[in-house]
Amino acid sequence: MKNYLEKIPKMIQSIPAISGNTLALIDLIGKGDYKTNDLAKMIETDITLSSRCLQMVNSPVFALKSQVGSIKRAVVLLGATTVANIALQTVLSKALSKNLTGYQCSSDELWKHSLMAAIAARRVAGEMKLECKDTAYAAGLLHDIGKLIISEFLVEEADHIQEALSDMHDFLGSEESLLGTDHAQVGSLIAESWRLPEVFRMVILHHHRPSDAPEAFQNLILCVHLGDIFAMMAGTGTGLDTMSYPLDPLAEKFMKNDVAWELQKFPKLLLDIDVEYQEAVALTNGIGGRDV
Amino acid sequence: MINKQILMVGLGHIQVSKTPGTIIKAMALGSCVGLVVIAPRYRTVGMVHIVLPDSKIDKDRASITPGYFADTGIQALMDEFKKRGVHNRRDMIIKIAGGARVMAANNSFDIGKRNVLASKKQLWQCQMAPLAEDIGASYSRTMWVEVDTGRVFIESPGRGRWEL
Repeated sequence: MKNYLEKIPKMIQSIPAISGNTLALIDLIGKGDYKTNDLAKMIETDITLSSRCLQMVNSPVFALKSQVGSIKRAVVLLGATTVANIALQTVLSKALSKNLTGYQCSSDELWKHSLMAAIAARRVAGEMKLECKDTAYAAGLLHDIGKLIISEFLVEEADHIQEALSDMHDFLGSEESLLGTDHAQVGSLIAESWRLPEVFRMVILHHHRPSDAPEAFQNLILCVHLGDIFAMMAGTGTGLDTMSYPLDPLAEKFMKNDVAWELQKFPKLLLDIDVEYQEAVALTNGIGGRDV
Repeated sequence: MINKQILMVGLGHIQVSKTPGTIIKAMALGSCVGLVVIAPRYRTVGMVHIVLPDSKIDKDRASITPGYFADTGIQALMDEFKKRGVHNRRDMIIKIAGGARVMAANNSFDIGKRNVLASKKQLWQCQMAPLAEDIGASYSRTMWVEVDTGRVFIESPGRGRWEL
């Protein structure tokens, strides 16, 4: 096995860093108790972000009666949460639109997957009546960030992929046995180097195995775990590893405790997730963004 | 030379075509089921992208997008064939793919399996059955059918491409 661990720090440096404003935005959403003015100020100081946000706000999806010319006004009309999520979607769509050659998926698939997983995670958090819905959304957008690096390693191991797939019950285990690390571990290192709040590092590290996480984070991580799986079920995966992760025992327990879950709640949730995802896609396309 | 045209079949969508050169394609079926109908005598093919087994869960949605559900989706696809003059079930060949399962310790939460079973039940009620199937397991499948040949193909990242 090549020593991939040695290469990680250098590769993290080579990932285009997200701007200080984006980090501050993630930080605000992670804390969950941000003030409207802080949010507006943060977006307004970044001209590109602010103009893209206004384009989104003025798109037909929101059907506002008149044109909105300022972020503050947008926050009043749409609410801080919506505007924060629009801003986050705007900045991360660029960072996540990379070819994951090692996973055999094209440039928009990681972004599409992250967007749907984020929407699904927020819906699950709502279903579980958790207060951290926005954090679940932001964490959903970030959960697979480690694939940006693991993809490069998988390219080098292309000859051994078949072997790993034929004996595969869990792609995370395959990554670990092929590379000595996996996209969850590497993702948490990226989050650390970006100085993201601990909650995001925890979600990224444990999103496939929430039952291994410290108890205080388990509910939030469960939302992202399920959001990730729902996105794959609905055909929005990242290529090679789609559908190749087991459901965590914590998720099974959660579903078992609620008899209506599989037959009634889940199907309704999946319908709502798809509708919201299609709207988010229309929003990104509507401002001349990438075809998600 | 005829230009190839690809008709994408999104979640809950239905596509039917007899235009030469056309390919009807559903990307990355996870727990969803892609159900293809081929009518060789009419040189017509079609596909529905089924997401959930039963339309009872949301009647409104089923009336707007019947393809979302196995029961209403298959019926709607058959109706599309009828509109094109294909009335006799003996003129139709059915092939299905997808229905991948989420791995779980006690096989709980297998929407993929339920999608497949509901699709077969609906076909059975129309006195039909799939001639070929590639279902279950834990990987995604992209499925397409060619109008020119009626051949159905499946592709999965890392697993290559094969004919159904």
